[in-house]
Amino acid sequence: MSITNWSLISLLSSSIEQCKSIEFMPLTSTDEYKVYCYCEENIYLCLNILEIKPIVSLCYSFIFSKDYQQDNQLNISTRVLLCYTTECLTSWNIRRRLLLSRIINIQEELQFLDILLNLKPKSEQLFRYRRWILKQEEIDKVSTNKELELCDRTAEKHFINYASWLHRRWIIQYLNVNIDEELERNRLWLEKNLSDSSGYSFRAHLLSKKVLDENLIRNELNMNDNMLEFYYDRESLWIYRQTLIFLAMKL
Amino acid sequence: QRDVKVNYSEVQKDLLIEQHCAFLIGYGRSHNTYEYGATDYLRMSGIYWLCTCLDLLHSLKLIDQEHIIDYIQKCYDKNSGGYSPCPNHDPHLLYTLSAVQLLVQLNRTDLIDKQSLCSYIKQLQQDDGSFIGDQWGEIDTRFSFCAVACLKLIDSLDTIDIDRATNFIMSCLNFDGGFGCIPGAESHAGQIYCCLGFLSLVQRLDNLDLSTRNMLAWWLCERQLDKSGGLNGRPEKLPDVCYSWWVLASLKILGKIQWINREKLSKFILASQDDETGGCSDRPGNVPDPFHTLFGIAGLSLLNTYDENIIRKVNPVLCMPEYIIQKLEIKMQLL
Amino acid sequence: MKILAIFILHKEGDKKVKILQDEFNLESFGYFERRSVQPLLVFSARTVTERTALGTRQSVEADENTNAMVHVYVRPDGLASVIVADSEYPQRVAHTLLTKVMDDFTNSYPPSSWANIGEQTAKMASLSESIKKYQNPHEADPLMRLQKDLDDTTDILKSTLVNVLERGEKIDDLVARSSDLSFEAKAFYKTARKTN
Ligand SMILES: CC(C)=CCC/C(C)=C/CC/C(C)=C/CC/C(C)=C/COP(=O)(O)OP(=O)(O)O
Repeated sequence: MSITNWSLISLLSSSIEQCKSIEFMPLTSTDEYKVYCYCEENIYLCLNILEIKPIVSLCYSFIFSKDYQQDNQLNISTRVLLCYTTECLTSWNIRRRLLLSRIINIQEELQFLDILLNLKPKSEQLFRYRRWILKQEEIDKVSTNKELELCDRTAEKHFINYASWLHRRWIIQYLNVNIDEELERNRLWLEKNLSDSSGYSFRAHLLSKKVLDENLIRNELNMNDNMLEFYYDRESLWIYRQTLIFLAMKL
Repeated sequence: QRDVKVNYSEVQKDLLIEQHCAFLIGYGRSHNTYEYGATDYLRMSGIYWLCTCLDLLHSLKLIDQEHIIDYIQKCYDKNSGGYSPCPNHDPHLLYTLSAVQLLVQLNRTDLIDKQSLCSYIKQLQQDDGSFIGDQWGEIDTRFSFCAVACLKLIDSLDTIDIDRATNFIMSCLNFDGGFGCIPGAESHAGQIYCCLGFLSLVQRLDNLDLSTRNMLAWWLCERQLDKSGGLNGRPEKLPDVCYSWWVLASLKILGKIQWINREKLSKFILASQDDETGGCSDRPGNVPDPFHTLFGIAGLSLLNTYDENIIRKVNPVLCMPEYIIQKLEIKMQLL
Repeated sequence: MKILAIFILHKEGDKKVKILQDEFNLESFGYFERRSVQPLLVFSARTVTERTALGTRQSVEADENTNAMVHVYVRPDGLASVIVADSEYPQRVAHTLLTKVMDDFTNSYPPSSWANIGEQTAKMASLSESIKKYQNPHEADPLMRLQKDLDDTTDILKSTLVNVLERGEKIDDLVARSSDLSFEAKAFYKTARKTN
C-alpha cells in the first residue's frame, strides 16, 4: 500500500460525501490487486467487499486511538466504519455527540443516511439514529414527503421490512400526517406489494386511528374480496381479512 | 406459503455435539478473523450465546473462564453502572443483560456491583413504565425484558416500578394477540418472547385473559411452515432456526408447546447444522454462527428431543441452563 | 413485487432463438449489479425459450436462491415472449401479459416481417409502457376479467432452470459458454451463488 492508512480512510470518507450511491463491488477481476473503493461516473461509490476486514480494523483503531480524537477525525472514521457495519451503536453515538456540538450538519447527515439506506434498507440502528436527528431538527424543516418516500423505497427494497414500517408509524405520528391520505397511499402500495404482511399490519394500524364504523370495514372487506379473487393463495390477504373481522367484532 | 426446500433424504440427521463445541470454542479464539472486528458491537452477547450453548452441551469447562471474566470486567462502565459489548464501546442494557447472565452462569455474581447496576437500570425507566436501552435510544419492549431479567438475576426486582412497567407491556398487545416493540407496532415472535418473558418474571401472566392466550398461541403455532417444518417470526417470512427459540419459549410459557409438530421442527434444526465446520445456521445450507447455534440447541432442549445427559434442560424465560435457575431458586410463572 | 424484464423473441426452427425486442426495469439494483444482472436475464430468456416447445407455456424458477421467475409462452407460430419477474409477481397476471404483448406485437409487426428483424432491434412503443404499467399487477385486472381462457393459465407447467435443460447439460457450463455474458456477469453469477 503506497498511501498511509489515514489518507485511505480520508479518501473513502470524502468519496462517500460526493457520491450518490454506495455499494459493494462484486468479486470480479480485482482479485489480483487491492481495490478499496472505486468511483463510477463520479456518482457511484463502490467498496470492495473483500477489503472489509482491514478497513473496519483501521476505522476502529482511529476511533479508539488517543491521537485521532479530534472531532473532524472522528467524523471521518465513523462515517467510513458505518458503511461497513451499520449496527455499530457506539459509532452512531459518536456522531450524535458531533451533531450536538454542530460539527455535523443535520441536513448533510440526513443525506448521508439516505444514501446508506440504499445499501442497508433494514438497519434498525440507522432508522433509530435518523429519528433521533429528526427530533433535533426544527419540525417545520422536516420534509414529510421525503420521509414517506424513504419508507416506500426501503419497504420495497427489503420485503416485510420491520424497521421501515416502524419508521413510518413514527413519521405518521410525529409529523401528524393525514390518515385518509395515508390510507390511500397505502392502498396503492399494497396493490404492487400484495404479499407484504407488514404493509397490511400498517394498514390495520391506520384504521385503528380512525373512528371505526360499519361502512369503513365493509369497504375494506370489499377491497380484500377483490384481491382474494385473483390471489387466493396469499397468506397476507387472509390474515388481513382476519384482522378486519376482529375489528368488526369490536364495533 | 413461502418456505424453503429441504431435501430431507440428504441432510444431517444426527446431533453433531463435538463439532458444535469445536466450532464455538474456535469462535471464541478467532481474534483476527474478519468476523471479529465486524461484530465487536455485539461481542458481549456473542460470548453469552457461546457459553450458554457450551453449558447446555455439558462442555462449559472447555473454555477459559478467567479470560471471559476478565473481558466482562473490561466492559464495565463505572460511570453508568452498565456494561458495553466491547471495551471502549458505549454501555447498553442489551449487553448489560448478557454480562449479568454470564457472571451468574460462571458463578461470579460477587463481581457485580448490585447497587450501581440497580440505579443504572432504574434511570432507564420512563414515566410511562417503558425502558430505553441507553441515554440516546428509544423505548422497546426488548429493553423492558432486559431490565427485569437483570434485576431478577440479582434478586432486586423491587428497584423499578413494576406496575407501570407491566402497564406499558400490556399497551403493546395487538388485537391478533401478539406484541410489538412499542404500542401499535407489528407483532413479532421475538417481541412476543420478550413480553411474555417479562410477564412471567414479574408473575403477571394473569393479565392475559383466556381468549388472548389462545389467540396468541394460535398465532405462534402458525409460525411453523408445512414443508420444511421450520418456524418463521412473522407471516410470509422464511423459516429461521432462531425462531425455534423465540416461538417455542413463548409457547412453553403459555403452556402450549405441544401445538408445534416436534418431529418436523427437530428435523429442520438438525438439517441446519453444518457438518463440515460445526455450528447451526439460520436455515439449511447457510453459513453457521454462534447465535443460531445456541437457539437451535436451546430449541431442541425445549422439545426434549434428546436426553438431559446430551442437552441440558434450558429455562424458557431466561435462556440459561435450568440447573442454574434452580440453584439460585429464581421463581417465575409458567402457565 | 416487480417485473424485471419483458422480451419478445422469435423461434425459427427447432433451436434458433432471436430476441426481437427487450425492455428492462433494473432500478432496484445497484450500479454494479445492474451491469451483471441484465446480461444474465438475456441469457435466461434465450435459454428457456430455446427449451420450450412451440405452443406451450412454462414458469421457470431461475435459480433456487434468487427469487426470479421466468415466465414463457411460445406460440405455435414461433413468436415467443418472456417475462422475468420476482417470485411475488402473480403467475396468472404474467401469463395474461405474455399473450397480450404478443398480440400487440403481431399488430405492429406482421408475421412475414419477423425473419427480417435484426437481433434486439424491434421498437414497439407499447412494450416499454407495459413494463412500467404492469409493475402494478392490478392494472391487469380488467384485462384478466376479460380474458376468457383464464383457466388455461392456472395449470401452467412449473419448472426449474435445471429441469428445462437437456440431459447432461449443466447450467454452469452454459453460463461459461454463453456469448451473451461478459466476464463480469459470469463472475457475478458465480459469486451470487457462493454468497447465497
Ligand atoms: C436472553 C435472551 C435470549 C434475549 C434477550 C432479549 C432480546 C434482545 C430479545 C430479542 C428478540 C428479538 C429477536 C426481537 C426481534 C426484533 C425485530 C423486530 C426484528 C425484525 O427484524 P427482521 O430482520 O425483519 O426479522 P425477520 O425478518 O426474521 O422478521
